[in-house]
Amino acid sequence: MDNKNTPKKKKSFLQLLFIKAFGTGKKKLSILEEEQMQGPVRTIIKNFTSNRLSMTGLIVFLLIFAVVIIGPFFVKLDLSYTETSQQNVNPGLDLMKVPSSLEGKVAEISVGPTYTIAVSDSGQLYMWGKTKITSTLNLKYVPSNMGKIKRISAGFDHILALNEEGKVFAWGNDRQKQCAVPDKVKELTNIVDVIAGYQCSVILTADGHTYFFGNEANNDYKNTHNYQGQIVKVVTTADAVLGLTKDGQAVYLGKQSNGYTKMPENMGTVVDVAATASTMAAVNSDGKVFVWGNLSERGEGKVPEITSKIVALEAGRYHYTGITEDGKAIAWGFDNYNQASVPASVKNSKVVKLFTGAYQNYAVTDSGKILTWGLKGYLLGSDDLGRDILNRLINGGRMSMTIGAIAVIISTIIGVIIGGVSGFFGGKVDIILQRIVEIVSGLPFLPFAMILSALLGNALSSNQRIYLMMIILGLLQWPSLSRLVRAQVFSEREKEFVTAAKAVGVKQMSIVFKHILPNVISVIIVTATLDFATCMLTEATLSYLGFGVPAPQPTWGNMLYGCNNSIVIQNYWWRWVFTSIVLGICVICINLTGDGLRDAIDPKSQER
Amino acid sequence: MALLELRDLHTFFTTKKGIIKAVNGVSYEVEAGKTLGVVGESGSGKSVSAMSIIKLLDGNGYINSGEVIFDGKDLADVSIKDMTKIRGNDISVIFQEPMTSLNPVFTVERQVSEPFIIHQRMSKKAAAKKVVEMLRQVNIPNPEAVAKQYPHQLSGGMRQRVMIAMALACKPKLLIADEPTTALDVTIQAQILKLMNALKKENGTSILFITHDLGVINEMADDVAVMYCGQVVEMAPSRVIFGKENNYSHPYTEGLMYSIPRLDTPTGVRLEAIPGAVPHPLDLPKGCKFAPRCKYATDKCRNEEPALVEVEKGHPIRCFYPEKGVRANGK
Repeated sequence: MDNKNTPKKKKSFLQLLFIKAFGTGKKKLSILEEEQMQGPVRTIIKNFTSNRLSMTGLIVFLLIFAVVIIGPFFVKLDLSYTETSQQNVNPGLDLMKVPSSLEGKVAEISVGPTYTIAVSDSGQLYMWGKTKITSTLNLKYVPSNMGKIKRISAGFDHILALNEEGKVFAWGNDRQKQCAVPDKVKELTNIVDVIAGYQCSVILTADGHTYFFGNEANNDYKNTHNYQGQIVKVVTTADAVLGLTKDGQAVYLGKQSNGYTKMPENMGTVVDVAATASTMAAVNSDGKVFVWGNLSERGEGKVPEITSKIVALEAGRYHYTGITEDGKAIAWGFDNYNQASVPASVKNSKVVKLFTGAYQNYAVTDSGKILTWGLKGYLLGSDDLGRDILNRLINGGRMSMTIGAIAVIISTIIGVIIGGVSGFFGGKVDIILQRIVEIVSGLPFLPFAMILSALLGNALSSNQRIYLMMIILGLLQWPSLSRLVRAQVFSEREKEFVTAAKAVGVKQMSIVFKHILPNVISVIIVTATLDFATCMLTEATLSYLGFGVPAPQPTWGNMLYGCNNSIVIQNYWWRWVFTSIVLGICVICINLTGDGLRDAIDPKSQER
Repeated sequence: MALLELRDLHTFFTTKKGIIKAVNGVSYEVEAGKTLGVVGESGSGKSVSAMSIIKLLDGNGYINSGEVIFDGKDLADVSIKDMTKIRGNDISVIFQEPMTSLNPVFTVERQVSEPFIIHQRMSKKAAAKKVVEMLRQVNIPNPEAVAKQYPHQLSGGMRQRVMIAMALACKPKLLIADEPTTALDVTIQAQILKLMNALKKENGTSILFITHDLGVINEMADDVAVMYCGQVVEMAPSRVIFGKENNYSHPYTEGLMYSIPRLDTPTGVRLEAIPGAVPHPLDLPKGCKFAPRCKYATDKCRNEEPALVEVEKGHPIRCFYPEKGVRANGK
């Protein structure tokens, strides 16, 4: 077929869609042609689609709507989830962005909660991720003149480094003195390893001695433990220290007797140990892994059954990884950010070194490539409890829209019934109903809603409070709609078709709701649309003030709750900017749609 | 026996300024299969008397006294709820304004099928078939397409046909036509009248035809009732009223007749209009209601109210001087 000669008649689907959406393809009629007669619905749709602004509003709103309705099926929300290590993380997906210059010469990688630090073969320091801990504290500012770095360790909010000469450097948060290297340690010349934990630092010497500094109240450590002189490896949980002796025994280096001290028996010869935030693990010479400590539902204890032997262990915040003797990486434990799901690219290659920490995993393959999996970061940042704002925005949107929609449905039903009855029957019925309308519309909305939710709120469960919100909003929103409907019904009922309907024998109630109402439906739709926006805003206002939907359940309003102080506004801008923008855009789009609908239904209103 | 009989009907409206006696002692009959034409100026009570039959009065209107005997039953006592069963089923109405009598948001099909669904409990599908049949009966071209259209897509004549189709849907015994052709132009008017006559013959429906156009009455009615100020002032078979050898008439009927342009009037002669206007219903004159506008009025007329007296058989007139010749000489 020769495409060049065939005239271009058919428009592509996209073009048609564009024309439908923005109305540029309007056919011009000659003066002799008459416009095609159309039904009222088609006319309204045509008028609406030719209004670009409201059409854009509708499309944007539908997009937001689709995301918050479909999104939660993919982005699950765990209401009880909080994570101290992930508080107030800046927006961005750069937590695992390994510098390309590091490729092929990794000596060691150590992962902190929101940042990663690495040393190359030549002793050079690399750092990526979110290094800013507070507005004044940034881990990026490393001590000068460290020389060639040999070992590195990332703590919760501080970093320890050991250089070639055996000198220890520490920087970062020093509130618990975890960066204040004691004189005793400074005098040591045989340091082989540094371990940075949660507000604490541990130094390991070549002769098997350990030295501890930092927060001793939070970390269970006994300076005079029985294993001084035998330790070859030290790992830390969030509150305890575990050691490995040179004769292959995992030993607890604390004073207390707790979950960590209840070690499994018959572990045999332990070859490696690792520790998550609350559990400890050891692997013996047979490749068998033992996990103990404060095991939770996160699944640190669920060691997968594999045929090959595990030779080395690594641990993140809530998950473990290991390398088998044939160079395969395996992972188990908490998988909320896919940190325990080894990707196919890693499964298919031979792993030489594996570094795990927090929610990130770095696997160095035999070809020197660095493969990563786990948490990349938070697109819109995280909030004060370490929850992903994007996740809460999507799930909260669903709640906000549901509340708005149900409130509007309630208020529309009440408004239409009261307005319709009041308008059609008039007389005493009208007088009584209008007094009720006046009383309800006279209630000061916000104070009333606050008092109501404060009075009833404490006695109700979280879910019941959500229903309460819907009902309060619905019960206080209807007067304006009922007045509009009443006025419209008043004018419609005098028209001849109502008499004609009566003459045919239609019953009164069905005249009101079947014959008059369809004539008023345009007003109802427009008002309901605009009310939807108002309801969402009011819900946001109430939740923002703390009287709406209670805390763990997110809505766009209560995500802003607690963002009303200058510290958050200045330093953690992502906690309020994105939510406000989405809420704002959504409300503006609904209003644009409503206005466009009004214009489409009553084209004369544009001429006024 | 007559199908419909109004006996001394009084329909009043309460307003803030007082009680308006819109219909004040009206009696007339509609024979089965016949057409009664009710004529009168605006405000003479012709529409109100007809609407009283099926109680389609505005909120403040009510039947004060009198009887509405329809098919042997007094409708004046029937509740609104029972009335809905009669409306559209036994008695149908065609209104004056075909432009506004159809609900603008429904298709023709949806509206015409309503009486079938309400009174004959038909399914929507069956009713839709019936609608097409009815539309064809009222001579609507291409009824299948029209059924799917909205009222604003139809012309006035078409809409009135749709209204007639709707009114005749359940083959009512009585059709009240309240000035059905007033809003239409003359050619369409003629078509509609022809159609109504044909349907009347076909279905045996009685028609209560309300109009202020005597020409239309002449064409349609078997009997004529002339109304003025809420009362019947003259009643007669239409051939008597329009007959040339008619010796008796009410001066109002005479005035109405004179105000019609005729082909046989000589050139240069002006049409004779009735002077003045209908008195305000709250301020009715003493004596004969027509006296202030009557050119034959005497003092007796201004002080005493004449009764409806039968001057010939089946020809009652409410006047002291019903005889044309006597009246003219007296002047």
